[in-house]
Amino acid sequence: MEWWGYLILVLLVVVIAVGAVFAVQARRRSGGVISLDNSEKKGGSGS
Amino acid sequence: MRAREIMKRPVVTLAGEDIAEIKDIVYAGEAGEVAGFTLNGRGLFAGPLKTALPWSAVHGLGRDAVMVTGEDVLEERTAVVERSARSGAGGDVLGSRVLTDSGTYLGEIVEVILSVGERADVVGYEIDSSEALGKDGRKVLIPLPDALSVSGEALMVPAAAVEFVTDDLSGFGAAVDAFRARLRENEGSASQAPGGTA
Amino acid sequence: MRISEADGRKVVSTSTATTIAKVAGFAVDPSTQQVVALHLKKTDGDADTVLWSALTAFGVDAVTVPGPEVFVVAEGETAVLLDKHHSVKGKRVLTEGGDDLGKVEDLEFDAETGSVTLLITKTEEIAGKRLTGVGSYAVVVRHA
Repeated sequence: MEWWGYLILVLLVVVIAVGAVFAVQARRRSGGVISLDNSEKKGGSGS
Repeated sequence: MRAREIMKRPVVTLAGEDIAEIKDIVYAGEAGEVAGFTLNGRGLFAGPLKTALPWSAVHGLGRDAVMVTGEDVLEERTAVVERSARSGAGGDVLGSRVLTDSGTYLGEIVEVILSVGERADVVGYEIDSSEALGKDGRKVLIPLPDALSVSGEALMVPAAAVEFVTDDLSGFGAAVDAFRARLRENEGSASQAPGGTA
Repeated sequence: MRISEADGRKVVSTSTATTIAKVAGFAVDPSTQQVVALHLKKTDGDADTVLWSALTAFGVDAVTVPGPEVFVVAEGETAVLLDKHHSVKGKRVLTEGGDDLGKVEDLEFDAETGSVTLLITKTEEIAGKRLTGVGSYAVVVRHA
């Protein structure tokens, strides 16, 4: 393989790595509508 | 309002600093009362925060931001939400199935409808309707009683809810009130029926 | 007086009648709804700030001061209010209820007292006394 072949490989790896980080972060940050069992909820009528 | 619209909104102090972003909307499973929100940090690479925002600390919930008096109102995440089981009676209800108490499958939850005032309560689900509703699989809004119930992996609604299904959010508040009035009527007449064994 | 017209105005010393600086920015204190200091450019030396209280007058053609001795290096609260994260122009305006009213296009203040009279966005004119917070993300205003 020519030198530029290796360069492309490296770039591809970098792109995939960055993509993976974004994907992981997006999953960690994704939210939902969470229902709790009453028995699990702590704290009472605070305020 | 639709609960999912609140997700990703910035949490801003009255001093004008954005301290977080809304991640999950958390509500007490049975009463349907919103307990608060879990948070993500601001910025592309910030992960979930260890603090959470209890409903009592919300100063204003608007179209573009959730306002708080200051960063000090945030609490430990565990004070607002315990890690809840992924299956059974806890966890994310989006994608969960809705059944009537007479066993009819109504559809999957795609959105949760809140009534917001001093308190915020879950009053309805928006579901991808099943054939049973005869709406061609369109999304519809289904009202919920005061007390919500779960059964295993599905969320249950009284069979009468089917009569109050609508696709118009602006009229949904009225549908919820009418539905709950019907439930009270049903209860009333049931208790007047000649009793059997206690 | 509006920020849009006053930006860039020359600052003249009353003792020498020469221009000793130009207005480059405005520090607005939300707790008093006042312009409390001006950021300056083209000064001789490090001092790049003048407190409102040190001005002789904020006129239509020039801002007058006794002389360059009243220029200071911004510190503490004033420095915070002057840093670019807190500059009011272009910042989104949020009500205390969480609704966006647009970006700050201009700000009107009383040239004699420094009191903020109006916050101006594309669609709204907001009374200065509604100003509650000036932060790095937004300007927050109370309900009317």
